[in-house]
Amino acid sequence: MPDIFHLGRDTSPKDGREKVRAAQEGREALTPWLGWVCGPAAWALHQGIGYAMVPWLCDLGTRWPYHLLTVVSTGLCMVGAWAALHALRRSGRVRSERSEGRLRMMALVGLMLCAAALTGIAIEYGASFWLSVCAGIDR
Amino acid sequence: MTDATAPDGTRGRGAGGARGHGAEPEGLPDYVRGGRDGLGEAELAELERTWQSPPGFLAWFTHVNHTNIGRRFIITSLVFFALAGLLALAMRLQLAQPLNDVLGPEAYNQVMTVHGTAMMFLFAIPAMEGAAIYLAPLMVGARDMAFPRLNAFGYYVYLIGGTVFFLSLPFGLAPDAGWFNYVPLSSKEFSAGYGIDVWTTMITFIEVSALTAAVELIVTILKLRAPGMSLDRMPIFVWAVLVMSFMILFAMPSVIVASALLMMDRLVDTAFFDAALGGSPLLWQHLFWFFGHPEVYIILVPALGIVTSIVVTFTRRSVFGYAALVLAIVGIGMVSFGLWVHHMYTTGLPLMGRSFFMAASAMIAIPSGVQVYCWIATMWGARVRFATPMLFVLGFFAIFIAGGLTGVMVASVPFDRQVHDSYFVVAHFHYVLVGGSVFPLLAGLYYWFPKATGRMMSERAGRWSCGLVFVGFNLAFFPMHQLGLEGMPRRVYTYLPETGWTLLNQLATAGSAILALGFAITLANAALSLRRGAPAGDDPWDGPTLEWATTSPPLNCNFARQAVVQSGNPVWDRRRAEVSAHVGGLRTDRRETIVTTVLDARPHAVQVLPGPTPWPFVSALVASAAFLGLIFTPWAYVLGFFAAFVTFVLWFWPRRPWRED
Repeated sequence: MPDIFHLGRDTSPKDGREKVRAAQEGREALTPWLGWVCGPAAWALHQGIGYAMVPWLCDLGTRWPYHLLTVVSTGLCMVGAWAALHALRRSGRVRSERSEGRLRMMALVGLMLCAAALTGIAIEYGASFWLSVCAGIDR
Repeated sequence: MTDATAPDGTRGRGAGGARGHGAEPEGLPDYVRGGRDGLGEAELAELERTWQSPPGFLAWFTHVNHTNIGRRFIITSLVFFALAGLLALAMRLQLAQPLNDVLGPEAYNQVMTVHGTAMMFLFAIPAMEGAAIYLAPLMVGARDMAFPRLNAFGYYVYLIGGTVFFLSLPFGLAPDAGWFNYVPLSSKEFSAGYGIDVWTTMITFIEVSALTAAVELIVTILKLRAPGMSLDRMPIFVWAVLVMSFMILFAMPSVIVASALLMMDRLVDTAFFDAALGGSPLLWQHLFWFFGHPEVYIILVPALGIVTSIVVTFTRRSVFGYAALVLAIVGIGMVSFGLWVHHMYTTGLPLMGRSFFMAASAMIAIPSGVQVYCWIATMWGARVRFATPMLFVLGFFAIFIAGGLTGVMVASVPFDRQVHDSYFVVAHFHYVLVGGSVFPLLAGLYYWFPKATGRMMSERAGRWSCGLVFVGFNLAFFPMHQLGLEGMPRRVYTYLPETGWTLLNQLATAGSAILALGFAITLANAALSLRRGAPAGDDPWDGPTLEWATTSPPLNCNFARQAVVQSGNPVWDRRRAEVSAHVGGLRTDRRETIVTTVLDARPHAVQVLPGPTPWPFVSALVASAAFLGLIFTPWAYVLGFFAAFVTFVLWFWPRRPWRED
């Protein structure tokens, strides 16, 4: 027999245990989203700030701010990937809950988004090794 | 109370045929007799009255149901599509001969600008939004959109803004600086008339409509899904609409800011884009393309959802690689925001900066490729039904992949610098945009027309249309690749006979005529099928998603009782199952829909939705007057703000549905 929902209009206040459980569920629900947010954010950060800092790097005569940016972006990406991986492992344990499939899908997509973002950062960073930061800038 | 109904106990109107939308005569309409989904006749009749859109001309302006508004969006966008298509034919006629005089240079520039702007802002995005507004609530099993009045407001803004924009052409006030409206060409110094002001104000205004649609769609999809429809059970089309909506939220503000700054430059003499006074013309290009490039994907992403829906239905298989497709759609949405500078490779940007965007531009081929493989894998070994929607999908594959290949070519800085501003680029973006959005839209039109009207479109006419559109499109746009490689610049109103471009241009013009004939057949097919089409029944294609679980056209309330979902293909499950589960307990005497949790769609509240009201229309009218006034005087902003505020207060005058509990 499938689930059947019948809506009551119960407005009674929730007890303390339910509130704690709801808060825990809320935190757990956020974890898989980290992969979705951190990967794209890291890549956007690397591309946007990296692009904007090129003329400044040319004036500065050094690339260390760009290396730093790459480290920070990669770190952010790894945080997202770690969270997604954590959620993926957890999805294997959540057998009794309906949310297993959903959690697994979200974790997988988050992990792959982080991988794609990391690839993007790596390609952009790689180019900096053989391109002059001052090429194409009128001085 | 038992809320389960045997599948054969459900009563559709089946072959009984179509009915008009909205208003029903007094008494019980046929489709209410016997009830539906376990809901009794009297209850269903009351529910239908509650969700009814009132009849009559004046009442038309009060409708808020998503089926009404979605249908209007689609029809209006098709009208703009036809008008912009006529402008394209005029341009092709002009270019059929060297030194032709069908259009003069000024008229050509206006026609070209209005064609491009209308196709992008008045057709492609609103058509996708219209499809999303009509289908997404049905697919997620909701009774309506989350904010029905905002939905109606968005439509009127679009209708009024688009009409004013098009009317600028016959009145000689049309913009003429291209759909991208580059400064300094569009500055007061080089474009003194009202044309550019029409562009800046109307585009800003119309984009408000896109933003409202995006907000409603996001909330509807995340909060109004049927119980049990967790994120991994959402139809791919709904995922695509969700991603599109987030993209609109991030992209549109950029063009709104750009056009507002230009408006100020022209109206109150600021200098955001004036290099002589410390402004930056490149700022316009950055702001415009930060919107402009994602816009291509805003159009494409829902089209990918349409294609997936059709592939699944016509192969009778669950989609292969659900998570990979979701990843591809989200990935495309993400990467599309990192490409905008590839429109600016020739503006003198640093080489290392350009390399970032070259990498990103090539990278977008990865998620695009993933989804193509998913579709191929879904079709592999299946007994595919080659009905008209599927034929258009196959046409989409061929054309979109060709456009994608030239996309990878122009992503490369050295190649792009050779073909920049040539007809090669015109060919490329038409392959991507027409292949990527018009083919899927036509496929979607043939696929969902029976659901929206209760009538089938003619298959024979559909096949003719598909063939003509495919042949005409390739004949019109493939020669443009060669024209570009031979050096023909885009945006020119004529060329010299010695250039040797005549034959290829004539081929393109002949192709455009065939293309137009193909489109005309589909439009005529749709118009004729409204009355003469064969009755469709509830589910003529054997579709798996929830829109096929209701009547054709859908009930006023969408579903007699909202479904409980147990897989990604709820309608297929429903046929196999002995019983189907529904939501019980919603009142029939007011507009209630169930609210569920974001991730797992567990029911947790009931939302009471507002009914018909004229205030969205009045607000849109007042806001339109203010924006129109801005073309002439900055004081219109001040007056318009206060006038619109009053209408918004009346619109939002508190309802207190909980008092009835």
